[in-house]
Amino acid sequence: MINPHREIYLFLQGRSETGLDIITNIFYKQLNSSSFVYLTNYYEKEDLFMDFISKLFEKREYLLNLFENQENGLPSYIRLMASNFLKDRIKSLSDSREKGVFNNERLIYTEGRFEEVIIQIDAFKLSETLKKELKEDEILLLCYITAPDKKDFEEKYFSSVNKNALYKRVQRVKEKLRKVVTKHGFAQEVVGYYIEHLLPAKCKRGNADG
Amino acid sequence: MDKRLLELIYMDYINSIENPVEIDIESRLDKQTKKRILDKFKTPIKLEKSKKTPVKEGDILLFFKGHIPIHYLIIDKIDNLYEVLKVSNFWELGNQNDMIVKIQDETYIIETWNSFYLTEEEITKSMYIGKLSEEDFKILTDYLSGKISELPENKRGLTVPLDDNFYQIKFHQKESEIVREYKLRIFEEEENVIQIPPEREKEILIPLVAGREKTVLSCDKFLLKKLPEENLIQMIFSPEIQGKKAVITIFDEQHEFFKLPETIYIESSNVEKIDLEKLCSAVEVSIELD
Repeated sequence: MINPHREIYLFLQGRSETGLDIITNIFYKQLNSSSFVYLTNYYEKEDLFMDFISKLFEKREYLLNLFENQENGLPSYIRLMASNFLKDRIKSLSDSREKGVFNNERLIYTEGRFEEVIIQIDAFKLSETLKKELKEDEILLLCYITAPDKKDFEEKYFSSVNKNALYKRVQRVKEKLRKVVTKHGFAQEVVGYYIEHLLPAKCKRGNADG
Repeated sequence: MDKRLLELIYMDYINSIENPVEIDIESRLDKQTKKRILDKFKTPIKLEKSKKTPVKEGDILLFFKGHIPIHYLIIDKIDNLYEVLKVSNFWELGNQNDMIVKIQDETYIIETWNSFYLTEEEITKSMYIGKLSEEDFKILTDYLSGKISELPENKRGLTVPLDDNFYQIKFHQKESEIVREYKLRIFEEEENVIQIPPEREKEILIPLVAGREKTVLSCDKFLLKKLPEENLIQMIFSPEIQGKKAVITIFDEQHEFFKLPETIYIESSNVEKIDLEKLCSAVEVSIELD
């Protein structure tokens, strides 16, 4: 009966081929899971694995110290490392402007927030969702709500609508936006990013296509 | 790509919690590659002599509950138990109540709402991962004590409401569940959970028209803090009355404490809807002189 924890520990010292086999299989299982499998459309599996092994090599001393007196945990820890490695690849892929995995738009980075990538990717998803769930005139109302010069907007698009009716329509579209956001679980910052960065570009194009 | 990045990460998180690692020793690599890798790992390295130093507040440690890695941060020691906060690698799933930190180049969230208790032995058997910077530890303790009402924007997760449609909330529920058995230990010795009389609860609910309500409130002798995911309101007493003989009255019900602890909990299934200001007025703490 093999002890996977021990075999992995021995492999980190270059002393167990079985340990290497165990790690290889943990990595490939993670890579082929539904969370990460689409990465294989962009990378060769073997290249990803060799990059992971290099990372493991860099961390070897740390891991040997960390688990020196432990009798279990290494298989789970290796899986966690594989996950973190693959998550980083997804994020860098999302940042790659040529590949546009999550969207066709450019990601714009601002300093200071860890979650910038998550916010931006979700904001593009929100944009797609709104395009499906709101009518064109409702998107136009969102443009109106966020327009810097409301007067211009009113004259151009809502000249035939009286103030009271316009107010009611605005309230209705706000409520609809709130429902869509809650139904799909988009965070407040995601909505903020959409309104600040994505919606104005669509409104400027004049077709308010969501 | 149909799925959202958050969904992919959440799926991976659930997999790591619910499914133990399958051990497979089938050989996938060719002999040459294997030899190259093994040779690389054969290069000698010097291991540090492991020296056990006593753990301190701000230390981050790790232990395994079966196949589940549990990272935690030490915040206090109460009698024989250490009070710790759950820490997670899945920082992307954190929300506004989770503090994002970097330790040894890895990003983690400190789940400020998810405290539990470990014994000395469990702490000793854990692995030392790193230490929170002094600056971050101060932010954390200021937040926990209610000195600051929000974590800094660049150190917290995304803002979401308490709604099951959000991955962040599903993640929180699971995170709480993982350490549930360690949470209750503190209550084993003394009865530190009290209940609001259910028939009186409606008197302290937030009016329907209210806007954003307080989740932390400083009262005269204590601080109230909502823990909605645990159906609890934390009541933290000011240091000058801790350890004293006291009677706490909520509406008409009295609870006697021979030695007032630092913290007790008020249980309610309506935590989110409770108006802390009204609760503050409904609670009376009387200290009995020795």
